[in-house]
Amino acid sequence: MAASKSSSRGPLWSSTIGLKVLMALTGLAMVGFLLGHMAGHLQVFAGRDAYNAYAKFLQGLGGLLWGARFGLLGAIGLHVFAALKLNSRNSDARPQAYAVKTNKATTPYAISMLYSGYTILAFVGYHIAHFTIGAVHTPIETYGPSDDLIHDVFTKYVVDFQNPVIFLLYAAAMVGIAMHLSHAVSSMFRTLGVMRGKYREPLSKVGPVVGYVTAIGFLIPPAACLLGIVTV
Amino acid sequence: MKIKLNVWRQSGPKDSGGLKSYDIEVTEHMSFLEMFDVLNEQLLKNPSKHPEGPVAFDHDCREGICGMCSMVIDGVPHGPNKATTTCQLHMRSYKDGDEITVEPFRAKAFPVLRDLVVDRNSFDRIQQAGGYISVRTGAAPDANAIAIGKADADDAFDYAACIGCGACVAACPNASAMLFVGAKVSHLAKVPQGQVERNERVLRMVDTMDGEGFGGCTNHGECEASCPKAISLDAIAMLNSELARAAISSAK
Amino acid sequence: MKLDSKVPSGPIEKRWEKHKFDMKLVNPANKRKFKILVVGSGLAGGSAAATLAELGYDVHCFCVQDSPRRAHSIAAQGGINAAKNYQNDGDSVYRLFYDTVKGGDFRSRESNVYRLAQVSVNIIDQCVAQGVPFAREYGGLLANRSFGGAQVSRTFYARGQTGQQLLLGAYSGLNRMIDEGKVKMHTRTEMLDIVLVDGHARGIITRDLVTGDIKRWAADAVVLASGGYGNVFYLSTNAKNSNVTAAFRAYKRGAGFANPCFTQIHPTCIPVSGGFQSKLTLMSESLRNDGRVWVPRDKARATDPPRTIPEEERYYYLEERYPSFGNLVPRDVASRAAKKVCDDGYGVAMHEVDGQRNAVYLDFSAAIERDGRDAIADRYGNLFEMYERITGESPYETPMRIYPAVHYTMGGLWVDYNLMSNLPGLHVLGEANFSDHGANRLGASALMQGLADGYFVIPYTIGNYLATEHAGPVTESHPAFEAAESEVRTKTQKLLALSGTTPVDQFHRELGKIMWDYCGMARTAEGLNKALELIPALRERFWKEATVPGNADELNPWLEYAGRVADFMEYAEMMVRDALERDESCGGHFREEHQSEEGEAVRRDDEYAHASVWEYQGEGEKPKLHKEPMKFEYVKLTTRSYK
Repeated sequence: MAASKSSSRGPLWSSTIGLKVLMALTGLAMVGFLLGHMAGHLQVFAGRDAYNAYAKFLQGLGGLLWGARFGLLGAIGLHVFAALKLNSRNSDARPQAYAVKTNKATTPYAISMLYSGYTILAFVGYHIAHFTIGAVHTPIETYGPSDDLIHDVFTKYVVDFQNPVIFLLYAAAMVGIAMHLSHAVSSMFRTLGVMRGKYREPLSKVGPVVGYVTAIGFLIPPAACLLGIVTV
Repeated sequence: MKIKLNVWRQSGPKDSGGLKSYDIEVTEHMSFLEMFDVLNEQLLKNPSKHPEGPVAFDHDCREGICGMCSMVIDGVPHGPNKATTTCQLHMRSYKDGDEITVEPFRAKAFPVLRDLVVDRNSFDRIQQAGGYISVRTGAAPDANAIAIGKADADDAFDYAACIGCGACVAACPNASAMLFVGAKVSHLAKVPQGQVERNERVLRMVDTMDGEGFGGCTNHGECEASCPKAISLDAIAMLNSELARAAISSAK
Repeated sequence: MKLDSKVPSGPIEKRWEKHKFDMKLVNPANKRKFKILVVGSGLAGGSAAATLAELGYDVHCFCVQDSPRRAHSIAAQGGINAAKNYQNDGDSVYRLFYDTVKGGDFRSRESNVYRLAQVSVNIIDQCVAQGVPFAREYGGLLANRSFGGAQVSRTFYARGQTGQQLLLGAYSGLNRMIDEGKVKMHTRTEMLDIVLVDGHARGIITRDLVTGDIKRWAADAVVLASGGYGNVFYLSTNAKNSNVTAAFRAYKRGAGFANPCFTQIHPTCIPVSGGFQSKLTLMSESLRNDGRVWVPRDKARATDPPRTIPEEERYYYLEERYPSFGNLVPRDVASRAAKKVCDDGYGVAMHEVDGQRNAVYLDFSAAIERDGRDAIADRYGNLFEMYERITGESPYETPMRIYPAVHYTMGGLWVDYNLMSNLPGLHVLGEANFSDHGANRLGASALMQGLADGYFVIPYTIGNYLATEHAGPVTESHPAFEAAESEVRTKTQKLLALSGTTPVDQFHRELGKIMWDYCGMARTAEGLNKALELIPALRERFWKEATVPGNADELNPWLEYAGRVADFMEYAEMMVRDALERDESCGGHFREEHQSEEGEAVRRDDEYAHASVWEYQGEGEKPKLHKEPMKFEYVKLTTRSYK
């Protein structure tokens, strides 16, 4: 092989495959966070004190928490950056569209990735304002001794989700998550090169399973609030 | 039976082009390309009525192996049938009164030359970027000196069956060439003779693929569904893993 | 015209070795100063271009397709022969040589054939090293099969697409050299003339098929590997763009054309289904290993569903007539037998063409019963699918219908042992030369010959020409280039000036019908004489009534096609003349006047054991016949018998 002819078009991570790997790895980190986060939310069923204690425990992690937050924000940033860069390359790759285009294999999940992604991105902003900062809807009250003040996130959670409008906003976001992950997780396995041969079939099912389990898992506690199963 | 054809007409690379409709009488035993032969005969015989002239389209072997034919038929490269090239598609797959739209393969890396003819030299350039095993004529050891397990040999063949038609690119919503490049890389990665240049090969081919202006893969699977040789999406997974392997070993 | 075969002397098994030693070499440092033009990028051209570039020559390669990988070699299905004897079944170089000379019905040059058999073993090594995925056994070693009537298993194969896999091998070698800058590849470029300077081939004139640019290329040698002329029949298994133009232009510049009447009719093709038919599709000959050929004994039952015809009412005519070879008789014998039963009214085609149902059954039911459906699917699955796609019938359920079709042409430009034509510097490889197959090519031998010529013969012999006969440099401004270019431009304008109302396609169809009817599977003096009247008349009509749309300076497929058909119209006449002159039956050339009582071909070795080489004498003149006698020192002249 002509040895002198090595790569000339920039670093490997910025190749189309490199960008996909970047998306897969950052996606993997986010999915890992989501699953943990979902487990945390399910503690709503354990009652006010347990839930607030969980929130306090997280707050108490201090630097670690901020590390995780920045890590996640970084992952989101890279994921979005890679997605937009790839998307612009992909639209450049076909300057003239077909008059008639029929798809034979792709799924609504795959086609709507950009939109489900935007939905999730918007939701993340709203969700941070809603719970992390607590700036919207019911204010977060505090209770307990002044040297060990407890933020009553539980009450805010329950009261807010008793509001059907807020519930529907979250539900819509979860549809976005379900759709996004249904394609993303299996796609990730192919991008990382493992989804082939005998692993192809099973891994192709992992995406929708993770997607729907995550979305439903997140919606169960708010639904319980809405339906009055969990109350203040 | 009667067919209404909407055909993309474009007189040259600089013309903007557009769809034009033709009515045509065919029989079920005709191949899709033979229908175009008949159409062209009509257009040739009546130049005053059809100043645009006959339709240019690529074709050669007409038996599904040369990879020359390249139409997108009702939005699907090579038409509706599974694992079938345009030249092997027969009109018995259609019925009287059907309307069919035929366009060229569309991708920045496959510029239209005329009507349904596109330039696919970008595929050649990808293969020239290391898509080979460097063996000088006469330098080969005895063919049976290296045994290759039947499973690996069969896998290699499945990837080598690619006819380089470009339907994968035409079908892909991103005009990505990953299935093609994946098939080439995987074929050579699966045989022992291909090991020496394995890493350098995939790095250069992917680099060239991107440079030609193909899009990236977002795992829609349209390529596999349109591939006339039914090359599996496993080729893409394999390409990804080969590139990762090369990246890791070149970082060492 | 001087026909010196330059065959080396001495025992046949030593001749190539001796010749390689006797040939002059080009100094390695000087090779890059020699420019070689290779026309065609199939197995012969592709492998030659790659190998010559490896040696250091400055190579330019030209093809009409959009990629060198699409040359028609790609369509070969069955396999490639090599005397490896991996099966330990008694094969040897000598046996392959013997089979090929005999199979060619004693009309090929023994020394060439022996060399072909010798280098056949290197070809397989080369291809495997390139990564060609040949079929393998469970132990990991290469698999072989018996093919096309060979008594040994010497055929290497890659499912039903051996041609594509071998071509991709040659293409990868070519790509390597393009990558290194040693081959300049020119796709969608057609050679329209060859340029002679002082009698030597010193360049070509090409047309860029996309822009219409006419260009001159001066060089030190020219290699033609432009394939065969089967499309003179219009309907053939050849690709639509296969043509005789490059070879025919060389002929018109003085290269001898040998044995143009030798045409191979392949027995197992999908029958014609209507007047719109544009080409015929071959079904691999390997199918005859398990399929049984038959027609109903009762003509009246020709259109009945085949499964309703009981065993005892089926006429397995090959098995009955040729008990020892049965369904595996050579191609020419199988084809003629099919024609005979159909001419006699036993044909079973779905569609009647010219009042005849031209097809016979190829039945797999016995094999499916014996080996199981899965085993048969494993062997022929892709072929069965292809058949079903085209015909709408499943060979698992009902017998295939097959009929012979034009497939390969053994004739071609005359070459000596060095593969050089009588024009010094013009080398001809693969199907384009008059080749090593004599009057009939054995299955799985075309791929072998193409690659032998390109990988292992021309790289040696071209050096000898460059080191001995070659004269100094020539540039594109030489008057010979000027003249040739202007002729090409004139001819292009003449074609574009055609403003009748009949598409060129129609003339090609008519020409094909004349050729098939009078110069096809069976030929008679009467028919051939008739064709000699019909062809010039058709040609005259062509130049009056044909229409060619568009301009010269654009992608114009109709202009390209018109040029090729115009050449076929002239070429056909020479072919018929050769068939008429060869007053014997041999191989693919069957003259009804010369057959045994049982209808077998009868050769006339006393008068026709030679290659007929035609020399162009000018427009409208009868070409001049020269003869190169074929001597048989090793394989005794015998009547072929497959009983």
